[in-house]
Amino acid sequence: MKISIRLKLLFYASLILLVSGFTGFAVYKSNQKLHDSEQWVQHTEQVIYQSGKILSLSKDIETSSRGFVITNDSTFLEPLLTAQKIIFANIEQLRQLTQDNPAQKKNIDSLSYYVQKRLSFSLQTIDIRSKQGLNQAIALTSTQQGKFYTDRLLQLTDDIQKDENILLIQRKQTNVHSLVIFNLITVVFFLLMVVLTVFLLISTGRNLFQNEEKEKRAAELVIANKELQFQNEEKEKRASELIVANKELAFQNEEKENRAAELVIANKELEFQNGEKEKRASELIIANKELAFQNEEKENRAAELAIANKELKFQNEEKEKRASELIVANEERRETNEYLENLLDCANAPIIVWNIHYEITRFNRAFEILTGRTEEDVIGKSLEILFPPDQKDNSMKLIRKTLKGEQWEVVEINILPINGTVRTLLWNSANIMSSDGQTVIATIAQGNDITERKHAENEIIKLNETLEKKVIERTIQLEEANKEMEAFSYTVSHDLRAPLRHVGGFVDLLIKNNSAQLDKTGLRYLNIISESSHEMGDLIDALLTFSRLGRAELQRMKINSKSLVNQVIKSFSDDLVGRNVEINSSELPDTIGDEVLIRQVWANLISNALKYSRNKEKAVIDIGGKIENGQVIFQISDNGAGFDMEYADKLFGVFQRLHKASDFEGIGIGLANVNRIVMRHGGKCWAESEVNKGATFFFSLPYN
Amino acid sequence: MKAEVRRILIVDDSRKDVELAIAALAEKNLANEVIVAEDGIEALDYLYKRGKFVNESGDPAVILLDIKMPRMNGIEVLKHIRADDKFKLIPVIMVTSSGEEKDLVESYKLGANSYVVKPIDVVQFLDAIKVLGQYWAIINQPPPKSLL
Repeated sequence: MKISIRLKLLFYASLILLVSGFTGFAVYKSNQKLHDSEQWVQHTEQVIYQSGKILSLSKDIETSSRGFVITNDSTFLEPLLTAQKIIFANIEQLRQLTQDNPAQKKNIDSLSYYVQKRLSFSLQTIDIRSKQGLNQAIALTSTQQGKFYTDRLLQLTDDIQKDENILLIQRKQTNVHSLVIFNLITVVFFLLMVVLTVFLLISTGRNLFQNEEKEKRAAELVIANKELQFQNEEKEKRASELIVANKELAFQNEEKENRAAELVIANKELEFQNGEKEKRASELIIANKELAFQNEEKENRAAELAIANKELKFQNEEKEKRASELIVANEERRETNEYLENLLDCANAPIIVWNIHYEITRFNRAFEILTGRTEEDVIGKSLEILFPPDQKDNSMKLIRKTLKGEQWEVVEINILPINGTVRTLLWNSANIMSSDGQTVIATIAQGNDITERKHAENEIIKLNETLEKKVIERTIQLEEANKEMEAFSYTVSHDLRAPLRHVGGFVDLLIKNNSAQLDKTGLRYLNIISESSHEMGDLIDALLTFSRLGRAELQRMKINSKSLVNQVIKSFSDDLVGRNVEINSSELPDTIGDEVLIRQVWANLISNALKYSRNKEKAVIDIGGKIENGQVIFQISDNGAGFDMEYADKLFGVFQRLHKASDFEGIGIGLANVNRIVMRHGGKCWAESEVNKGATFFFSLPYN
Repeated sequence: MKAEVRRILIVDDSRKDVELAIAALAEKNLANEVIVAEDGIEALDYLYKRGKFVNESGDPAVILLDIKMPRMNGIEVLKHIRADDKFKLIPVIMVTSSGEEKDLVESYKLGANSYVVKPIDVVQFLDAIKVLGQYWAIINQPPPKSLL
């Protein structure tokens, strides 16, 4: 028991008071004893003095009578007469003094008797001296009777004084003993008082110190409270900021998700269009190859022409000599030119040749078809006439650029045909050099009509723009749908629960309070109602959790998969008691995701593996993971009940169960939650199984 | 603990929930006196002793406040209680059907002391009261006399 400091103070103070009282009493008593002792000394001295006085008076009587006997002078009788008057009064005083002592009374009686006898004897000797003379008186005196009386008186006085002294010594001893005891008590009490006073001082000091400490603590608490209040206000502010931030984040995430979904569609469309482009490109490649082949042919022909020219030169030199041969040679040249012309015209791609003044010198049939222009329209005209008027300058600039140096270039230039519909072409060009290879004499260009491709590209751009609009529209729609969903969830969680709660609550009360009035069957029915209402509560909870998983914001972070899985396995240690379970988990790749949600995924999958393998003598659960095609793929397999792959599509649905509730309990929300969490991370779930041969569940997450 | 809770004000529009709450409290003999207000307006009527509570007196030791109610909901009532010096020290335990997070966050922001989920579980309620004991320690102010 803890005694308060005040009680302690009161206790010490009372003790000190009590001890002071005792000490005072002891001092008083000891003083009284001292006083008594002094009185007794005085008393004894008085007794001695009184008895001495009586003895002296007796001696006066004897001396006085002897003086008279010897001298017969009556003046000697005066002391006797005086003593005779007062001696008995003195004896009476002595008696008074010693009346507390019975032994002394006897002595005093004897004293009184012998004083009487002595006085009578003296008076007798005086009488005989005065009447019968000296001799008679001496005769009487010599009887030694007077001496006998005087000796007795001396003896008695001595006895009285001795007795009184013995008494005094006894009393003094008693007093001394009492004094010692009282002094001892006084010292002890004084010491006690000192000790108690010290305690009182310590307690008071401590009390004072504690009061000071309390005051300090109170002041500190006031400051701490102010700080606490300030921190609370700060926390509130932060909380409200966080709520706003969370709402914004949630909104952004949803928007991102929707955008992502729309983009997937857009990508697919783009992919399709790219496929189309690729087809076109491959067609172009074929056309290019053909063109290249034709060019090679042309080159070959050109080389042949060079040879022919050389021959011509030679033939010219030999003209005169070989006139007939010349005719033949000219004929050959004409044929070659015709062949080249035909070759040029047969090419699918439009081909055009211009000179160093950018005047058109040649073009082929394909070019004619493209532009709708005839030879007369263009030969000798500037290239400018081929371009849409507003693009003339730019196009000429590009052409001039391509003629700098001899590299092959590919440029995009629009052509305006006669019919007015602008066509877009990609142009390859090459400079034709003089025979010495030093000067450019002409340029040949071959076009590739990409008008359709351009149209397709423009359409893609337009489509993308439409997609953007659609994404925005869909985002708004989804936002509204989300809001409605949230309101719905709120209503479900409040309003749907109320009647259920009342059914359960009142049935429980009925069971608790009125079970005595019910028979067994009635009680069983009530228990079923109670269980069912709790079951439905669980279902509502599960649905709300599922719904929330779809809306909660993801907190992405790096996850150490191995450690996470080990923690989850540890959390099931209670379920492993009494079972023979082997869990093998290999090295698992780390991943990025919401750790709380991914933990939930593992917990559900491991819990399922344990549940569905519990009828096996030895359950074996293998957990693994790998990185494949930019995805982390995790898997968990068991050797349990498995399931029929025919129903695999139902596996991840809400409240879908592939086993009887009597075989394996559960409400069928776990895998739906797993699927939702994985989907929200941009991954997917699937499973493989055979009845009674275990099951393997997979889930993938994007690997960044 | 028992001795400290003398009078409990239950604010709830559902008579059935109130009956279940009273049954739960009675089971543990927790409240000497239970006052029922059927919505937020009535709760304030009781606190300010007006309307049908004009002849009542005294403050409740604890208020059990439902969140979703017609006319004035629990959050509004809590705002009023915390804004009035006379009542701001009365502990308020929010009662919710669902443990819906956003309701609780808002309640705690406005100074609710604790919460219990319906139907009121006595153990949960006692836990909440225990927390209130610490609440007095934290604010370092004497609790209202009605609590002593």
